[in-house]
Amino acid sequence: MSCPNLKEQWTEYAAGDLSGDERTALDAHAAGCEPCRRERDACLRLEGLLRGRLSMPRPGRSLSDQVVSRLRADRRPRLVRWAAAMAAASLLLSLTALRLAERAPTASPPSPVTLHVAPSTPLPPPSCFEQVLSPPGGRRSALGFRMTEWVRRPPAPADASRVCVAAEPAPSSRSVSAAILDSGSKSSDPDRASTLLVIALD
Amino acid sequence: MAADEAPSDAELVRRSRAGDAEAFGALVARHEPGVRRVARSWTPTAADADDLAQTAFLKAWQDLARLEDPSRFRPWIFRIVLNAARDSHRRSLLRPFHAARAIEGADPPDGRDPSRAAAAAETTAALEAAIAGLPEELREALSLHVGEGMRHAEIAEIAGVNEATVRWRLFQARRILREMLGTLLDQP
Ligand SMILES: [Zn+2]
Repeated sequence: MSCPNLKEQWTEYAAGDLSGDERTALDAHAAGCEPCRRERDACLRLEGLLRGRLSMPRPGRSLSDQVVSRLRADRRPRLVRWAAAMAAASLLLSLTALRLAERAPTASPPSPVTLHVAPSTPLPPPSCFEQVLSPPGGRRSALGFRMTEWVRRPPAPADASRVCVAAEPAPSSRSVSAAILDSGSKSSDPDRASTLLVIALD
Repeated sequence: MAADEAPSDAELVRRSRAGDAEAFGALVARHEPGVRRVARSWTPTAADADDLAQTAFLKAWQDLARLEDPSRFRPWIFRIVLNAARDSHRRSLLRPFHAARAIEGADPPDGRDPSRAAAAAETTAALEAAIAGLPEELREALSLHVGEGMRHAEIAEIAGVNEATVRWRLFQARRILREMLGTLLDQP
């Protein structure tokens, strides 16, 4: 069998599109072919990642009650509806604040927190950070993303966190998103981070 | 109908058309897990996806008279949520994908090992960016097939194409993702 032609078959193999006989034949080939084993494993890994991403359970409150009460609310006067929406919005805000407040004092396993950095936030990091120049210019990831590491100067306080920032300029604005991945401290604020790891999706 | 038997979609649609909001609530409860998941493949956060799903159900309630075959509620509601997703996307009401925000849903990094956390972050961000970068019709087919376990025929009904086209879209989607993710898919 000629291996380059098998690339597409490994895709079908991982997707479960092949018959039992076809799978057996491919497995027999892979047993003696290292590149095909690697391709098979990569395709299977992709399939697993996709299932994890696309079929993840949707926990949380059912939408059903919300939808039904919206249908009923549509029969109420407009002003009342608007007031109810405002009340709901302020409740949501306080719940968010509460959740953040709850998170702050705990030292044990940090949950990833998402921050939305203001449009004016400079990228690369502000001048209080210094880039770790090894290798110069940062390293390239497999996909060509730039990964750079920045340390705070002067040395950060003991409770400072290491913060992983994925940066992706939005086409319509200069806003960027930042995700705290590893905030093993009281602070999940990049302004208090000792180290920033920037993954630039350019 | 036996008392302990759940009413069919068709029955619930008929009752909803008569103004029975509880019956429509039962339809929402039955279909919302899938509708929310599919919406999630278009939105940066779960909260955005839930807003989109809710919008779709409210539109379905308004347009219920237009559903020709009440037993086909499921493909119909998926079509509505996908159209809503595309519209929002084009009107830029939803911000484009932010791979970083997707990391929000990722597993917490393992202990204090920064290189593993970075590698996991990169894979998550790359997968998110790659899915977001797929042509719309490929992403749609993939989320219905992998996420909802739908057969080719049902996806074809939702997308308004034939089954061969669905098969081709699924294959292309996987080949593109495989190419885009490259060595990130190598075993650690
Ligand atoms: Zn081979």
